[in-house]
Amino acid sequence: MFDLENKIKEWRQELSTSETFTTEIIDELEDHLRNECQNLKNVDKQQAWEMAVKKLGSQENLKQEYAKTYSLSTTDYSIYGFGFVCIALFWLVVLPRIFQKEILLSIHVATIIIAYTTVFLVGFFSVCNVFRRNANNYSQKKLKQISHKLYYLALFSMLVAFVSGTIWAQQNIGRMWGGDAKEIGGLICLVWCAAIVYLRNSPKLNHITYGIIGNIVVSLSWFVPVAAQNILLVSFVISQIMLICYFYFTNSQKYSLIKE
Amino acid sequence: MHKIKKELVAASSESIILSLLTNGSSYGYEIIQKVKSLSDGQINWTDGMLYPVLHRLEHKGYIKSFWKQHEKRKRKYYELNEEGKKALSEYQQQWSIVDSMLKNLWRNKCLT
Repeated sequence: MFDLENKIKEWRQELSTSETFTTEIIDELEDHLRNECQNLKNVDKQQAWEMAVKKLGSQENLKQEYAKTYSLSTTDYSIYGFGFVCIALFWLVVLPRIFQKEILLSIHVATIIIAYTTVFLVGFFSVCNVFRRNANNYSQKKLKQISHKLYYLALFSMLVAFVSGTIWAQQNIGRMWGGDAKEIGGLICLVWCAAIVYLRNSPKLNHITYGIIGNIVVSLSWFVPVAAQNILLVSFVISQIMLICYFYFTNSQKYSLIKE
Repeated sequence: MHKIKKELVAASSESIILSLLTNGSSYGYEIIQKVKSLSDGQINWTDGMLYPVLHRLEHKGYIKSFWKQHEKRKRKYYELNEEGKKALSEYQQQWSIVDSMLKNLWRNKCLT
């Protein structure tokens, strides 16, 4: 026997597999389908459901229509892609000199700085969004997409940093894991990034909250252990100055990642 | 009479939605039904097309949305705001220009 509630449940599940359809969008479309089913009186429930879904349009078409509103523009991609390539290139070029051409160590330091800075960037966006006067659904959705993508980058960089760091330590210090504050901090940040990437689509996870908490996690992982180590402190200061210049540039061009 | 082409429907959708919302807040399904009845079925939107347009209007800051409880389930309503009223008046001017220009063109053609 036809069960409308069950059909709606299946339909919701199907839609929720795509990142495009947030719970709010699905709720709204569900209300539409229920109205349409109620309105189609001369057919049985199953036919009404099938007709309503058909009239709503295919999932692919819906996705395309929403993508026109919510997708990141080429400008967004190019700006933040450009910013990170610059930062990455800077570190990959400069660090081998600092560490006397020790490739593994320079990869480790460069990637860990990219990872920490990326998590900071998400936090920066979240803080900006809290203080935005005209934050709306669109900006929220866009921020969420950017946060997800940046966390992928952070997790990838953390993994590379972790592997290169342990190999370097094995070769040069004779141990893979020393358990000092810096290493534990890195591990905490790695676990944090992995947890966020894993839970990214969970409805209970608010991207603003995890963006801001990410700042605290990185602050504890990064600054506390390196406070006594001048070289890393210098690297942090330089990366922050670069980020500020980067934002100054993007704003001067009337571009902003979290604005329209 | 043939149904209105989808390009024209798409171009006019924002103006139509903003105009309908001048009568007060409404929700997606109701808007679709009103358009169908006001156009005598000549404008027949694919149902799913309306919602992204509503979201786009909201993102542009022309309308704002709110959820309201309706028969044990929640329903999303949209209402026009001040920015939307300004945008609508611009749309009205633009459509009037196109309308009068086409009328003139066709009238002149008929005379010649």
